[in-house]
Amino acid sequence: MADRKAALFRKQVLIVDDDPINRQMLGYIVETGYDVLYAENGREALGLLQRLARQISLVLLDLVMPEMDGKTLMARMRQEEALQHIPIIVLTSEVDAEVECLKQGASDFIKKPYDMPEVIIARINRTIELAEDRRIIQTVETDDLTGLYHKDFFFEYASTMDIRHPGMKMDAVVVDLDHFHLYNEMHGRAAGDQALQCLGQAIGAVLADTVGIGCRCEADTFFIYCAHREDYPEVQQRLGKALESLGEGVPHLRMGVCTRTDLAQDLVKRFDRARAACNRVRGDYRRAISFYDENLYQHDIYAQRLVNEMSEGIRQGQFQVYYQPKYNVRGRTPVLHSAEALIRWIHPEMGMISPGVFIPLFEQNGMIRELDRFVWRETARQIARWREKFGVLLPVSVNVSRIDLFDEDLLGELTRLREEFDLPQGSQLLEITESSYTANMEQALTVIRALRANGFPIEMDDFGSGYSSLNMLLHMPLDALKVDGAFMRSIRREDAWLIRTMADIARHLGVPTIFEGVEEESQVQMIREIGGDIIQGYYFSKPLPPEQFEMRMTTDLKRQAEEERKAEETHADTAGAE
Amino acid sequence: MLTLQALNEYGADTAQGLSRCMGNEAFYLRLVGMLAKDGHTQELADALARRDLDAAFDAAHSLKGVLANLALTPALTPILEITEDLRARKDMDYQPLMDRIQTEMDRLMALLKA
Repeated sequence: MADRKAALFRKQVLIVDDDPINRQMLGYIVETGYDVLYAENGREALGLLQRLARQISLVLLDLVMPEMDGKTLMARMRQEEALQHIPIIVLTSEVDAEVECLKQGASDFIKKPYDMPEVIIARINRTIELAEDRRIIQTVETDDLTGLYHKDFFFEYASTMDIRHPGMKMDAVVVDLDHFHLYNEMHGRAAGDQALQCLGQAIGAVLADTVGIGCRCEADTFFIYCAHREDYPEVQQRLGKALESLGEGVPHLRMGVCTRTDLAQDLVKRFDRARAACNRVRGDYRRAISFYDENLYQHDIYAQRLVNEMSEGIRQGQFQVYYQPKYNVRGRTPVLHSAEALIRWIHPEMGMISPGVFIPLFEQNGMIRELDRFVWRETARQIARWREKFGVLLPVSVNVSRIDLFDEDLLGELTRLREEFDLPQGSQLLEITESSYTANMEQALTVIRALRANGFPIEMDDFGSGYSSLNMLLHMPLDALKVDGAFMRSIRREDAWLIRTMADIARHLGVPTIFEGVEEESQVQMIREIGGDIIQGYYFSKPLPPEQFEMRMTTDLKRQAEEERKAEETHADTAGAE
Repeated sequence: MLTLQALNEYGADTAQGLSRCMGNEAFYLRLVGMLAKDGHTQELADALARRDLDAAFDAAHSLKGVLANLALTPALTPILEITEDLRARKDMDYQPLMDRIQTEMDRLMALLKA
């Protein structure tokens, strides 16, 4: 069986020599490892090659032959795409011919008179092996669609260029298509592929006579690494024209360029910069090119500083948890219902840093996990403190980031905190964004179900800002629907039906609606009219540090007690009157 | 019948020739035997007779390759010489060299026909 299999995979070698004695002698040697085909001259060999191109692993070629000589056959093979990859070993007794044959692309030589058979076989094996390896690499390293490199190979070759030419000024370029997925959807996958192919070929053409390589990095993003050039506007136009040749409605092309990159810096980082430049012109149809400049650099430096200093900042107490109250507005007067814990970074040198700046950054690099845990612990401690101080248990919601949902011990961690501070179930509320639900839904739902089952109520955060369908909503486990603040800010009175619909959905699901970002009396009125439940926003209070929140709590609790007392009196009076 | 011993006596380096045939004596002898039908010697003589040095070189070159591979030293020696002269397209009298070649080839053919 093994023999049969080996026979199936036996490779074929073509011996081209006009002399029957030489042909047979060499054939006798080669047959020990290969199937052998014979041709008496170049013409006959070419015919065989054209018929059996894919099956022939190597050509052993004599130079001086009638009809068509060896050099002519080599030239013909180089011209034909199907034959270009077949390696050639030249059989020669002429030292002079060797150099010329090498130039024409011969892989090796076998001298006449022949060497020891073992030597000949070894050279043949080696040549075939090298050619096959090269072929495999060529197939694997390039993207079928565009002919450009795949990402991994691209970075490998780019770093090789850096190592070999450390003095070279190199540019990193990102080319991207705006709304490519829409083009794909509207015109079909084939048209999308055609656009990518066209762009890839145009990039290849731009790089053809320069020091530079290109790759298709992701679906519609291309990278170029090339010797510094000044003509990027022309390059952009060439690429744009190539795309436009496909017809109407082709995606808008944009380019981010980081010129004269610092070779000491990580390549990926350099392309991050080009990408940052590219993102700056996203959706801007007047500008198609952006260069990485001082502004972006300063932004990068700032971001890097935040990343570097976060953990130390936590240890030094620069991070503080603020609390924003949520009020239940169903009754005649609003009642303090719960609060949301919000992180603040008060940096000793940079002052108050907006969470809008550092949270997306830490979400991106995963450091948000550490920050989330800090907030969870602080909040649990705070709930316990207030319970002790006021004798009231005020539930507080904390954010659970998308990445936390992948932590195997998430439930364990939260449960241990609850036990450590001896809190009852339901006192730690978890806010999970709508987009965390919808990305990797299966995993998210499993985790969320387990959390709810163990006494952690879930508030779906940022509802209305994402893409969840109503159908999906029906299957999502949750305990409250939090309508995105941005939504509230942009809504007008005549659009009340929309928030009414949201409240209706929540009612249908049997959960309360929490409206965030409520700032004005009129909005409160509107929410009460449509039967909304809970309001969080500047109208009642901005997020407060714990001590200020306590003052508010004191006032609220006093007022509530007062109202309860009055209500009881009224009740008693009414009862007495009866 | 052609034998190794006869070839050795003729002056061939049969050890070399045999090694190129991976020690297969019968195969080696068969290849040597094929020389009986080889027309290159005649081609060389004809080309020289009409002073066609290009054709003469091609024929000599081919013959050289075969004789070298078979390690038939006595015939190979004058062939090597004439090939180099012809490669340089020397304007000389090739007849004495051709006679030597013919003599050695005739000696060889006699062995093959024995």
